[in-house]
Amino acid sequence: MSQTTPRKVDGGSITSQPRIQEAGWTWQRFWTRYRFAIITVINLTVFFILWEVFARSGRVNQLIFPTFTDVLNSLKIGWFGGGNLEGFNNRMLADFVIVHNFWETLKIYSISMLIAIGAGIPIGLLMGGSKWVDALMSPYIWTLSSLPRIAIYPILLLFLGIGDSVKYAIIISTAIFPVIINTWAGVKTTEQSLINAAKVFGASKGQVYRKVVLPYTLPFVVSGVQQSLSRGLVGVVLAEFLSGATKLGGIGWLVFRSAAAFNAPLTYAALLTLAVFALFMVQGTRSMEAKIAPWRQVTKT
Amino acid sequence: MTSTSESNGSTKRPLIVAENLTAGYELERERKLLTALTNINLTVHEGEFLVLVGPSGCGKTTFINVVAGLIEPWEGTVTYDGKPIEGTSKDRSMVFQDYAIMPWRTVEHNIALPFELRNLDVPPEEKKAKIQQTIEVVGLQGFETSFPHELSGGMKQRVGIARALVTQPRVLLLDEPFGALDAMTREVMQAQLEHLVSEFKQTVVFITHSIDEAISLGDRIAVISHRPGTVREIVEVDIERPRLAEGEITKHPQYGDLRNHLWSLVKDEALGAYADDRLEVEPAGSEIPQQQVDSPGGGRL
Repeated sequence: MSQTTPRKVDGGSITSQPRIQEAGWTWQRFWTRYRFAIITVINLTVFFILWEVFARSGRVNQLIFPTFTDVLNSLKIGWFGGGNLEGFNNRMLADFVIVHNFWETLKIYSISMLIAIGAGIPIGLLMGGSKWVDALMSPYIWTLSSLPRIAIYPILLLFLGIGDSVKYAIIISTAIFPVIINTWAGVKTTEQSLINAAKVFGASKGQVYRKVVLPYTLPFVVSGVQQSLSRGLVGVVLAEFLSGATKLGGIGWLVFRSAAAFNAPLTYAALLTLAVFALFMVQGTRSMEAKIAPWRQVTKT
Repeated sequence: MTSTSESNGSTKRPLIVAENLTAGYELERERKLLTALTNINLTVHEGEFLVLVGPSGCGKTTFINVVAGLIEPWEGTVTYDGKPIEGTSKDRSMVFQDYAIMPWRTVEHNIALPFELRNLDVPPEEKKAKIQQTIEVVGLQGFETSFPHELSGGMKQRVGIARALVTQPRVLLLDEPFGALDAMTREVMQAQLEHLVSEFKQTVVFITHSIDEAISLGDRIAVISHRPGTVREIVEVDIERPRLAEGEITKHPQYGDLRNHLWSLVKDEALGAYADDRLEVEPAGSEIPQQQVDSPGGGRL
């Protein structure tokens, strides 16, 4: 073949015709493209209808399992007010009660996460990059990351007293380790051939770190942050459960207290709020990964 | 046809000279030093296409890494242009078997890497022109802004070759560059490489374990014995250029003799390497005949 064709080196026919063309509209493509959304809408509608029917059937106690419409009502009052309820009554439901508590949770959660991520990434980078730091930090990092964080709560309480600082401590100690460990793993697993290539083309030690190790580690950091965000959410709800008696609020506190007050619709409304928030956050970080590390899109899924 | 003396050397200047070179690497996990090659005496002349053939694990890659300046010799010397090799140089570019192109960089940014890392004093317009020219030479026009994961294996390796060529180095080191490609792509790439090298007049050190590839590319073929590798014989290939690709070189009248001779050399080495590997796995009661274990260069068990 190389004898009969002229020995000119070019890309062959790849440039003679656009490589990417618009695919025409067909029902088949429409369905392939939107089937997930369509199925999800139908699925959820059926789910909520079944919920309503089951709750109204009398087979379950509505104190434990409220109707979906009651939950929606609590959501409405908790989020947008209009219930004309002044302050907390004994059943916890008040105008904007979910908003206030959600705001409290969001505040503590985001500050803690910023600290956890902001400290976790440099710690992971240092541990991955330096054998000394690695050796010094490893015993503490691995022990603490394996220890169920709730076990240190009594000590944290002794040190910090009852208050917001204990919440921050729990959330940060829950969320920081995935960031550290993933970042560390990214640095450690950087492909030797990429490092060799950089060296062959003249990279100094610093350039190897900046131009190879850091970009290689970035997707690891992103997935560490993803894990951290959901671990931190566990941390925040846990912290709010534990400080429940202190009336410091938060969505976890609302779940806990409303359940204790047998206001099941409010409990479910608070839970739904939390679930939707968590869902959006996970999806958000997924698109973040696609934006930050577009080269990983194909290797994933 | 075969000679260990360098009859071609009278007209050409020695560019890379290895004298009594012994080198290897450390197996960190097993706390062992592995001698990859021993007592290598080899001269690469300016403008020559030298192919190293040998069984896997015979230290071909170690040799090329020493020449690139990535690792240091344990014993002996390797000089480039009369001076001992100290670290990497812009004179010597390398192409890797697993491409080793940065997945987070587009095609053009990968090819721009050598300029970026070496801080070469090239005006931006000239740099841009050189990158564009190299992209056209390897036939990647239209893919400047593609990411590696969007390219086929052959195209990825063309990025690797373009990156190695863009600074117009005097020496091109290729470590089994087409080993991971399918047969069809490999033949096209071989023809392209031969064409490029004849155009840019580079000195080439090319590693392969394919005899046919060696015959279709090399001016001289150095057969390396199995671990620890040493030069068993240097075979000259007097076939006119441009040559037939790997799949068709078999039709050339000189092919049969060359191939038989090379194969007889390589076969011993491959069997020796196999015997070594077997013995390392099962040291006692091995059924490998003693004769094969004693083949040249196989003394280290």
